[in-house]
Amino acid sequence: MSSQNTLNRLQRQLKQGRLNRREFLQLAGLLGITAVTTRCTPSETSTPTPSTVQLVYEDWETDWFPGMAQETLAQFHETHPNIRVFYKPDPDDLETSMIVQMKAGTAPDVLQGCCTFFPVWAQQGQLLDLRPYVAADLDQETLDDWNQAQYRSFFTPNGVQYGLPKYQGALAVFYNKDMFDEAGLAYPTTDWTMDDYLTMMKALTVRDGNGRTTRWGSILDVSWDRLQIYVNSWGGHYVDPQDASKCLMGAPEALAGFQWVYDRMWQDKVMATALDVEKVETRNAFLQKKTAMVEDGSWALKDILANADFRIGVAVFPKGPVRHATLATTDGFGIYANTPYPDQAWDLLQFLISKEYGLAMARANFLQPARKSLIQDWVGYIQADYPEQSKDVDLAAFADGQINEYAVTAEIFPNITAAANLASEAWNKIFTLNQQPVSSMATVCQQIEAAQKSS
Amino acid sequence: MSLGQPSRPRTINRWGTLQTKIIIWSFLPAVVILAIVAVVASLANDQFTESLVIQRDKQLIRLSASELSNQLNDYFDRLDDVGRGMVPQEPNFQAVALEESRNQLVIFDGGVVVLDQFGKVAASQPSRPEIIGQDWSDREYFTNMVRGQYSVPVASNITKDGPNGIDVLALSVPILHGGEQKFLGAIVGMFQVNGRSNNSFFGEIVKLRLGNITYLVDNHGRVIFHTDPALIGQDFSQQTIIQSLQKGEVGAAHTSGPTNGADVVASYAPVPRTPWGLVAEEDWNSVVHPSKVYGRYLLLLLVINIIIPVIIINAGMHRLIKPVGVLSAAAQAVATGDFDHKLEIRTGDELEELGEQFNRMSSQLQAQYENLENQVASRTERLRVVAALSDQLNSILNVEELLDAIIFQIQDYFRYYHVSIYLLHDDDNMLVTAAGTGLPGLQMRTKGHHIPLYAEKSIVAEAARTGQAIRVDNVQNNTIWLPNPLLPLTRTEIAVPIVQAGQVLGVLDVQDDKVGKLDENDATLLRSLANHIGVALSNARLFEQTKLAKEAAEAANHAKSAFLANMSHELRTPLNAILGFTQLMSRSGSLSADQRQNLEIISRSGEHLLALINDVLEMSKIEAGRIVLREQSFDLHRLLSDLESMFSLRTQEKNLALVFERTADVPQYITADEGKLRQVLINLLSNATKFTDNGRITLRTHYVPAEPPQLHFAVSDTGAGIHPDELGKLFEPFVQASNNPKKLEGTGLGLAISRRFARIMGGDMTAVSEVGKGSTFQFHILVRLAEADEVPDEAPKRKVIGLAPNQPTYRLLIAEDVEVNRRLLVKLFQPFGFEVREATNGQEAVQIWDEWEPHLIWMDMRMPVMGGYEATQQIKATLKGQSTVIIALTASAFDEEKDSILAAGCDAFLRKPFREQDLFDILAEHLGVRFVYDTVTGSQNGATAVTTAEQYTALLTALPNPWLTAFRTAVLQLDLTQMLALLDQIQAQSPALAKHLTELAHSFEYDQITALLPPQRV
Repeated sequence: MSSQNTLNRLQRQLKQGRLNRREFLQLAGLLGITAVTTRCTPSETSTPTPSTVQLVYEDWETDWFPGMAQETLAQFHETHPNIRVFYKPDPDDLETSMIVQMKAGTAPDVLQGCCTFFPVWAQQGQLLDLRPYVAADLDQETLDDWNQAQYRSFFTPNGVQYGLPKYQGALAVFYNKDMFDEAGLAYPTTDWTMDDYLTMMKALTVRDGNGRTTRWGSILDVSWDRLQIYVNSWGGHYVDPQDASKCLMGAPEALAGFQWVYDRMWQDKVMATALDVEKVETRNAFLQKKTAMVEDGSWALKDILANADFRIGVAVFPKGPVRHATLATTDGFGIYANTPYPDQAWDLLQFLISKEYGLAMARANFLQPARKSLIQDWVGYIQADYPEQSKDVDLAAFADGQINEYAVTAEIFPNITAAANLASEAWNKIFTLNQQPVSSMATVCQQIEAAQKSS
Repeated sequence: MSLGQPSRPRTINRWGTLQTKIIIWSFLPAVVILAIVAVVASLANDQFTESLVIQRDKQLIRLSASELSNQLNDYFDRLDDVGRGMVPQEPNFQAVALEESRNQLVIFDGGVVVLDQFGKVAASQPSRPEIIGQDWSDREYFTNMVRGQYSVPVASNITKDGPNGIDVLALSVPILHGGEQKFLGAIVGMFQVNGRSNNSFFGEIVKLRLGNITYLVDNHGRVIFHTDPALIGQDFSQQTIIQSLQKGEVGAAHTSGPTNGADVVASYAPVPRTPWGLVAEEDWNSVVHPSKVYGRYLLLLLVINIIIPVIIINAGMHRLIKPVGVLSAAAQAVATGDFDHKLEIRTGDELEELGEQFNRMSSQLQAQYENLENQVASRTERLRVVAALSDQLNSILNVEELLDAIIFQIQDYFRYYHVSIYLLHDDDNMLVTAAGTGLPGLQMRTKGHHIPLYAEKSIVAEAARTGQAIRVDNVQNNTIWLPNPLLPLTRTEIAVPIVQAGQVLGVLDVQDDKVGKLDENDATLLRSLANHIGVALSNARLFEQTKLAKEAAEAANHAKSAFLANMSHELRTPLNAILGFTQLMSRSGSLSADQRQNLEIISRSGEHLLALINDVLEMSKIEAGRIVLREQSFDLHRLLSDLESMFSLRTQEKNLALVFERTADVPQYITADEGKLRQVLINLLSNATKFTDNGRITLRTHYVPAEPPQLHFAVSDTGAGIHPDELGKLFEPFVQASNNPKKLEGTGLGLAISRRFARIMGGDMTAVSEVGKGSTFQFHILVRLAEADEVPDEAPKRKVIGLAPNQPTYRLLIAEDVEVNRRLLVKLFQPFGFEVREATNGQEAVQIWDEWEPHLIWMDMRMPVMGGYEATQQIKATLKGQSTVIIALTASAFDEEKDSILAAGCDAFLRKPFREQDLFDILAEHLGVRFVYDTVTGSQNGATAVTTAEQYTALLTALPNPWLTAFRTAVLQLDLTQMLALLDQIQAQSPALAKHLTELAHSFEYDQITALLPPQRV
């Protein structure tokens, strides 16, 4: 990080009164050097703020998003005549191309991110620390309106706040009511457990005369955060809460969670692997009735409602043997650290986290608002657009984890890139290819810890 | 121990220390080299930076253009996806495809159109029914595609194919169908080109963040996008950079910004696969700022590179140089006399050895110095004695006292056995004892001990003869030593001649009772003393001579003053009687013409004699420094006017023109000594009138506004002039010009007095003259400006003709030892009704005063038996005497006597010879006596008002002598017709006089006319 960035960070901390002695001395030293160099500087060379600031805002390229974004940004332009925002759809290879752009200095000023790559950008210093802005401009009511787990997920281990919630991506279980009725199964209740889930998967799995499965009870996306829910349900963690560099994927609790999923895929064969559904996306596999259930989030609601030719039911994620957990996705908005106009970018970000923008996203694609206060509006939009399909859908299931605070977010290592790559490779071999046992995660865990130390 | 007056240790300033010099000379090369390196590095850095920046920006703009081209792929792909989704078999497949992809195409804010394979518009999104079916086959984005065999997507220049004909940028991709890739047309996405559009393509450019200004132009030089939205759509084709872009060049240059003329680095590159060019302008200062900061850090490092070694070496040098400092301090201590200062250097090297050597040297110096100090102390003491003695000798101016002081001081200081001084008497060549110490000295002097100058056995005589000091270490072995029975213990003796101006005045003789005790140092000392004695002796003798001369001069001066005083008194006293009685007799109307003429002669002669006496006295007073400046405010204009009137008759009498000129700024009222000024002017005008027979006389007055102000006067005449040889002596007393035929008139003191007066009044007088043409006497005086109210009113001069009625009978006592003067006053006052008594001395005056109690006493101050001073003091010492007015009468010429007279108690002062008017004025002032005056008032035709008989007389005096003679004859002959005829002649010149005399003539008042006539001129 450059001295100027360090100076900026320290000055913000100073404003917040959160400087320790060492940081104070650091600040004093930097100020001294700055004073010396400034005194020698014949003229101010920093880029002056033009009368109209031009910002680039990149976000989803989904077919509904660009129209919604451009339309809604018109409101922002009305209230901010001196800021001109160019919306640009995310590229297909967002995860990789964005970091390249960031390092090249051509990243958008305001952007969105999620999952594992969003914190990676932050850890690499490419995202602006929002704490001074939040402290200055956001009131407590706004902060309390967000799910705290999701809100807290936008902090790096060393305390940098790099994002604010975009929407609430809550994981739940979609199920095909027709298949449940056909099997004579009762629909899942809000207090169902993993055992209940297993029972239902078994009951809904259909095999032909050759023993070949033609329909699986359920399917999940083998990915970092989806598997983490099982680890959490069995009382485990990926990352030691006390030490972010310590890996707990090899701990018995974590291994138990992994094992349960593995058993469903390879022992019971009631849960489809990617190969089973020929690498069709899990949501499509469900819509194509290859599975009776799918673990998916509220972000898929409109797609499923719009494309399902069967009756849809939604259940909260089943409670594990140790705790109840579900995923609160970490989609959020952030600001590029090297934007020449951080203050104006913050103005734009404030608009993006506003109720207006949240409602626009909820209205356009039933995106579940990150703000609790907008849940009823969101439900209203769904019921208005899909009165029949949503009639028996328990939409509250998506918000249950948010409301009852059992939703969790992805656990992140300091070097999450290395950790994700190591885990992804291992999980591909364990869950997709069945090439190595779950216990191998202990070794993977050591490799992850080693990667943290070497980073 | 002290050296007395040691030289002050030199203070070495900080920059002059050895340590500083070593450091400076050690680092000077490094500093110079580093400075050169810094300069060269700075210059190289600037050049390198510029080159680097240009290369960087050139590469950056190329990469950015390439990146922008790559970003277009997303848009081409998006369009291509739509095209690939078209199913040609379906009706309106283009429109269907556009509708299905509506959300994906919304980013094209200029809309999307589909052209069929012939270039006709088949569909549009959003719907534009007006263009459906139009032939757009001539559009470059279509023709280029056809030309390119439909293999590449095409980006266009700015075109007006947007909704409602607005400027748009078109991206078109071919619609290829089936395995054979059959060309079905093109799908064209459009971005609006204007400052209001926020389309995502513009966002691609903004994201590049290339510089302060970024813009994209099409192949025609039109601006597609610009950081300043107002410039979008402008034509930049005339810019050099755009022309380079149109040639496909990539470049960067440090230049004036094409957009706003600022100092920028401008870079440009064509965007691949498009007809566009990308340009970035970056502020030069911001670009090179890091380099400059680097340069400053480099400079800082260079400075540190000097400072840190200097600090370290300074510390090291301090350790090395410290013993040198100790050595220096010790040397300074020794220099100030501190020999006890010992060095303690324990460095184990040459410095320690040097310290030990220094200590040894210091010890040796101490020993030598103590010896030297003793010698110096002894010599200093002797010199001090000589100096003190010399001071004392110079203050004694009596020879006897001087010589006594000398011998006793020498004896007192040096404790010799005997000291004596012999003075050489030139008349008999004897060396006589003038002073000697002790009883022997007294006896020698009282008995007149003397030694013949040519005595063979006497070292005193030998010293006087040779003019050399003679020292006898042991008198027993000396052949010329003469024993003195009064000094039996003498064993050694020195005789030193006292010489002044080459002349031996005497001998200083010193004797002691120990053989060899008087050495060369004593001889040197005594020689020095003898020199001083010679000077002092000479001074004392000279002083005595001067004192005698001064006393003689003072006695002579006193005699002169007494003579002058006596002369003043003795001359003025009879003159007082002469003039007084002449005036008294003139009052009589029964005089015959012959008698009156005789009286006039007496009066004029008296006046002339008085003037001569006054001149002599005036000169005497001047030389005695007794002239006092009596300044008062007066009317200068009136003074000049009076003088003009006074001299106009005289000049007319000689047919001379009299001209008074004064500049306009000559002040009317001034403060100066009016009397002296009047006297000077009268003197000069009188001389001019006297010595000029024809032509004119001019008085010019002008004012010089200096500080203090000056008045300049010049009296010019056209007389005979003065020879140059005599001009220089003109102002000397008793000198008159030799070519002056009238030089015997007067004392010859007039000009001398005039110039002295001019000088007393702060100025001076000079004269220029040319023989045969005339002379000019000019002088100036210092004055002060005055106001009209400062000038005292001048009472008109009137002739007393009697006492006013209803007044008491005043008693007047006249105390005067000279009878004629007494009689004069008695005869003056008695006719008016005053009671008058006489006293011949002060004692008698006091007695009469006590008995008779007069109202006023006329007191002569110099009388026998008892003078006026004492009589006045006795009278005024009593209560009764306080009410008696005493008026002093004195013939003294000196003003300062007035003070002593008033101090004695007199109420007023009147100098002889006095005028009767002055006497009457005093009576009026001090007793309140009221008189009846003979008053003539009024004036006619602006002529000067005439108020008194004296003034008429003065006017008559100014008339030509022939007229006066004729008029006098007519009066004596009672020839009224002739009188009137003559008066008619002066009517124009003196109307008041003519009128008054005419009135008297008509009234047959011939006595009064006669009384007015001036004395007949001789």
